[in-house]
Amino acid sequence: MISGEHFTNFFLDNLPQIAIGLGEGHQGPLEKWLKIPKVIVPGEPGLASHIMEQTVSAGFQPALSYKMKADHGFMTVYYELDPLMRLPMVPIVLNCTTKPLMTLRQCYDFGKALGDAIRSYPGLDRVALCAAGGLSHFVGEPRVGDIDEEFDRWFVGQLEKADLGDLLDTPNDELMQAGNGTGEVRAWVAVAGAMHGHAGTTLAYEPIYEWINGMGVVVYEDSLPSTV
Amino acid sequence: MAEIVMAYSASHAPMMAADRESAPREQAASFFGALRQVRDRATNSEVGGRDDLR
Repeated sequence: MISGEHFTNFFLDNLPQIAIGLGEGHQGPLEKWLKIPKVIVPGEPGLASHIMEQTVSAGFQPALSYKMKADHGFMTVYYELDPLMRLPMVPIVLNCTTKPLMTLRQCYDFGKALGDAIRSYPGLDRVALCAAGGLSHFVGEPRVGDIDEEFDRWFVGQLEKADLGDLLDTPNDELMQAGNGTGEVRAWVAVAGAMHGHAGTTLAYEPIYEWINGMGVVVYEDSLPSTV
Repeated sequence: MAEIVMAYSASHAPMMAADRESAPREQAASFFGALRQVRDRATNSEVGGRDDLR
């Protein structure tokens, strides 16, 4: 599962672009006011270590943590997937807010390496890959509460193409104009990289102003077994 | 070798868990309905090789 770093695990004294949680469990959520039971989500250390090794071999330098915590970035979406919170998780955080930032193309390439790593892991048969973050939102600045609906609809539309060329060429500064929190879509682009060659399908998009966030869901149908 | 049996991306907002009723009903139904579809697919595809989601 990929999400943006919210200064939960890392801060400005030590902020990696990518970090992978290798632990046996992940404490979450940390936010007391979140109406999700506080638990230790089971980890999947074997898969996590394999992802670490394979992505390093592919030329990336992710940080590692045996004590990664899962904040709302993970837990809100994970809880909707598994309300009992028993499904093992490998958390991966991306720096989505603090310059210098990875480009969308770099995130896509990391996603490709991540997908290859998962598919070469012999320890499990079936794995789900999930990005949690975005869409457009503004945090701690005068435009807080605004949603860039035009960007959001363009972005999910781009994910419905098998070739993301235009999207991957989006400059970081242009992405930032859609909201200082919108960079969390890097996680979505990484999933698209892992599923490269497959077009996404938008299941929902709603600009929910009460939640100060563009809310969407894109699924990769081609990844699903034919029996589903 | 492992197979990625499902992949998806979803927005996260603290309010979707802290005060989910605060969203307009139709919008919340659309968003959570999509996540429900994802969950149903995960259940059917036995993600992780376990039956935890059942």
